Amino acid sequence: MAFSSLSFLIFFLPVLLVLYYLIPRGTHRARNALLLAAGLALYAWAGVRFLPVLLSSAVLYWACGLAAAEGRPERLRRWAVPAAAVLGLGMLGYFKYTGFFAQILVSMGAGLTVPQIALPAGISFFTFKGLSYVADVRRGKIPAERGFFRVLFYVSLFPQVLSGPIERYPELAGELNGREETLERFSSGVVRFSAGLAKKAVLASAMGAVADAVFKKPAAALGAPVAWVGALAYTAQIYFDFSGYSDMAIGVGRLFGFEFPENFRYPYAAASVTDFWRRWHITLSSWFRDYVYIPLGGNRCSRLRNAFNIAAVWLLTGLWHGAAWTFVLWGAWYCVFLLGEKFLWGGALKKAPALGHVYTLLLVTLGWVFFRSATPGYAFRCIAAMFGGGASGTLGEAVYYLREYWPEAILCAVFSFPAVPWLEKKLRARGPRSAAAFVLDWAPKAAALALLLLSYLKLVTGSFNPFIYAKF
Amino acid sequence: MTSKKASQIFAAAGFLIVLLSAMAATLLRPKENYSYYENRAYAEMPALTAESAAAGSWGEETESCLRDHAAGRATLLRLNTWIDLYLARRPVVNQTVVLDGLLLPWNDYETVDPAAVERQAGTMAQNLSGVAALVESYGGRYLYVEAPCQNAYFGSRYPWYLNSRAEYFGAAVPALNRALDAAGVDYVDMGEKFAALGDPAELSSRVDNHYSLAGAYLTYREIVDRFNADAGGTLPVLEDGNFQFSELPNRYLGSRLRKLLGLWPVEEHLSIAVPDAPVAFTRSDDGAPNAPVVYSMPAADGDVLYSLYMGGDVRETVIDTGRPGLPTLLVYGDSFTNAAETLLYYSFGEMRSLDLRQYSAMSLGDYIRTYRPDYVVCIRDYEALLLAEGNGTGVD
Repeated sequence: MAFSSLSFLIFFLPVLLVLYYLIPRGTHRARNALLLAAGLALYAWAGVRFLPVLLSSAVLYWACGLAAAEGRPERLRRWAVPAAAVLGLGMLGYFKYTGFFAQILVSMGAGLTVPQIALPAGISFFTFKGLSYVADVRRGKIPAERGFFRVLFYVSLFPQVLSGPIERYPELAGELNGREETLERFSSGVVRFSAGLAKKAVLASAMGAVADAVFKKPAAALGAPVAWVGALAYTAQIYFDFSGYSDMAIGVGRLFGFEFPENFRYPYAAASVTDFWRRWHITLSSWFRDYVYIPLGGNRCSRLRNAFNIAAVWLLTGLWHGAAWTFVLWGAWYCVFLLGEKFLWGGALKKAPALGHVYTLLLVTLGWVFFRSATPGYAFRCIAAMFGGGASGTLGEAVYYLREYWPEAILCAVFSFPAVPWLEKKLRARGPRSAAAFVLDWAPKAAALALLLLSYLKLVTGSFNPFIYAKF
Repeated sequence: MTSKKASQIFAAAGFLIVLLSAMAATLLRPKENYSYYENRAYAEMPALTAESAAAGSWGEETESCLRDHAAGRATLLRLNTWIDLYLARRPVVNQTVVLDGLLLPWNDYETVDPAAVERQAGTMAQNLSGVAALVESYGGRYLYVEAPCQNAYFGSRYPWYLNSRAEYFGAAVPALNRALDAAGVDYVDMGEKFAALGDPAELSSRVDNHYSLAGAYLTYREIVDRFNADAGGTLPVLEDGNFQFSELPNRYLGSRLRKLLGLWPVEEHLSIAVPDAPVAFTRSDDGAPNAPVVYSMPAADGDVLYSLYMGGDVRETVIDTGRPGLPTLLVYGDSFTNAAETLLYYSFGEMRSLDLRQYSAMSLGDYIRTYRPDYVVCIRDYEALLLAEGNGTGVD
């Protein structure tokens, strides 16, 4: 059940809120039990058949966590993380990559049938959460949880279970025992949730309509104007779709007293590709940094080894997003530019930040072409078309998309950059007793309710669009 | 209470009120089954089964049902369309190109492959040639009629950046005509006839895909005049002076205007043709007797739809005027036949009408062999000219 579905918005969420706040304050065990049941129900909505995958994953990480705990025999502790990795990633691999690797074998001449395996929702996210939990126990950062339901609660926490953020257990553990459900936090959750919903329902859906129309065209029919419009539309779609989802998750978390980690920090305002990855899907990037890059040696090694570590991380990052060569290429694309910035032109970029912004936006937009294309061949032809190597006569179509979706395009351009924080800073600078303070109190809340109503209108009158990251 | 705290209460209470009201209104509102403007049935609540719960399809179908039955949906549809039309001023709203006084269909961008068009035209000509040969085998007469649909007729009114399908029509119509010439099939291209008159705007609807009754009348005249030229003028003809066009006062909710929920100001009224000397007839639809009328008249204060003509698309209609001395006619084709049929019956002893998109009791060949109509006419619009299925089918 997606956050942007009516089932969630006008049934699941209000019913859960009412039930949650009917439970007396201070009885977090009962409130947690309700949220756990809600998480499992929300997950089962996408197909009860996948529930055992989630439950068995939780059992695995709980058991491996116990094995990795301090005080256990070292022989047992040493095997806990590898066991969790082999079994957890094995499960992920089976559901996500069997078809991909079978396809590779078939293309090499193997006479086998490519299996069609349905992907359990959110498996990439809860697998990474579970693995980080076991690794953190092994590192002694946190004690192992004796109670299975606390680990199950963490793995299946309903605002995060489908598409993250990939929160670490140490960040959540304290909130499990006691969190403050305050009016201030609740109202900030309303603002954040409504903003995220509008990002998805108003902006991402409109940009998605353009991107879908362009990327369904045969490669031979792509010309420069329409290929650029398609690539830019997808650039906007994926940001407003995924950051919208993350805003909604953070907002829902606040409604129930949680404070989840930020996942985006205006990535399109980055001045380099390195900077972009500090701002985009932050919880995934930091997961790879802490559990893959640094254990491999990070940058405290030779240049060659460091380059290998970066390449390994980006191959895995690409594959994490999807089992297809386009995602491998997308990972390789970033690997090349991150290595370039680290060893070659990073210093020069810092001296020319304006150029850095243009350079970054260009590379990120081209990167999304790999991400969105059905095949590598299509991606290369699309990029060739963007630079003049495609069909002619597509200006009209590009103009149509711009004229048709001009309000959304302008809003995407404005809200891709930190316009709101800039405005907030300006108003705050006028002092706490000014009219600006009144505006700061009321405007976000009034805007949030207006956006909620606008989003409801779009959800009721449009067709349902699942979140892009829900399929990862 | 501080301003900050008051704003927080406002946000929290407003949020809960919106969500809970939407839930309550959705649950309590009377259930409807049909969306008038969208012309479709609403989704029904799916049955919960072990399979659908396991696969997740129950959740998906429930979401579709909720979307259809959500509180305020009809009002929100109107509001959303109004915003698109008047605030965002989008050139295309609900798949409709919005122009001053004219609503046209939005066409997806396409690459026309002339070779593929030639191949399709050849296939169609083969099909039609087979039908013509069958009709002529017992002394009958076959005529294929090509009618320009609205976007072909008003193609020049599209903004330059939208696809009017002019390139496609420019390839398809000549290709089919060449193929029909080569196959010896008699045809008439009403687009040429309308063009010869200077393409007057009143020959096509401004809010619907079809020609107007005036366009249908010219088509009717072209058909009977051709037949009369062959037969020495034995068919009675509705001509100027022996019938009147009568305009209905009702709003014409053509398919394009319907997609815009009637929110764009284009005023158009449908007409009916009233002969000075009416011909009595009986009518049956799908074998069952029906009221002897060719116009499905609207309620006095209701909208009128294109289904005014012949009651819309019917699988099989037979109109018998009880004049055995006159020849019989079979007319088949897509919905462009409907308006023409309201005139054609007047000139024949019996008129049979088939819509092979829906009629399946007999093949076209068997139907012709069974009833051996003296005249067989197929009417199709430019969009459908090369579609070999449905009314483009051949005979076995």
